[in-house]
Amino acid sequence: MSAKEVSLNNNGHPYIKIKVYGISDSFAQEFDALVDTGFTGFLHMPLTLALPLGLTLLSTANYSIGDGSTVSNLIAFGTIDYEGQKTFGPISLEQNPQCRDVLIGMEYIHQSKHMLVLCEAGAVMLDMEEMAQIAIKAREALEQSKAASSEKSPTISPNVENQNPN
Amino acid sequence: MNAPFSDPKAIAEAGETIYRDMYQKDFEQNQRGKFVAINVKAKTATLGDTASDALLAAQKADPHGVFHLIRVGFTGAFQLSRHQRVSQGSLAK
Repeated sequence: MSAKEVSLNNNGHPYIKIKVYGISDSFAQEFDALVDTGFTGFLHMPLTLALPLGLTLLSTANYSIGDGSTVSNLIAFGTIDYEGQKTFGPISLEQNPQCRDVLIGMEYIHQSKHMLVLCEAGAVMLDMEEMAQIAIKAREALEQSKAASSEKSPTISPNVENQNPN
Repeated sequence: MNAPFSDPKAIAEAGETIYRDMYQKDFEQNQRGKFVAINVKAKTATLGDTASDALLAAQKADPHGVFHLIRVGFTGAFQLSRHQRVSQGSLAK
């Protein structure tokens, strides 16, 4: 099974190394991206970091922030390359110069069919389709095991009268 | 930056106005949770199950269009909890 490494920072937040580019992978640059389960979009990054990536602006969108406010950001299409897996989606570009972080959101997790597993020992990204196949095989094995054990064991009747010779 | 996008706030406001005046009532009854790309020049709306679906379909229909993305029934197209933000400088290897 292919498990991809996820780093944890000092606060326990998961980070992955990604490459991001627009019209051509010759523009690709590598970033440490925070996997932010509180972000419903695909990828969020500062506009200043995005300028050299060859992204084509397409849209604007409003973002609801955790403090109740709303901001308008630009959106461009681009590709995320995560350990060779390329996923295309809408990248939001933060214009606030104080924001420096690159955030991976839930839309990327869904689109790339990943599963983020966090535990005390660390974190990994798993391929959701592989996990689904494992779950199907495990269920089949369990059903086969149940069927085999019911063939070997006689059925015990819950009828008390049959167990009592008197 | 592309000239049409030099004022993103104006595009967003135009998109919100078009949506509110022409589409909101109908979409909030029938398309809740879907994404809609508003073409602010043509005043058309393109729906999709995801942000990518809506924007790609809208771009296909008008390759030179300028769009504003909305999620039907939501204040913002996306939610972002900034309290989780941390500096990249604290990344532990």
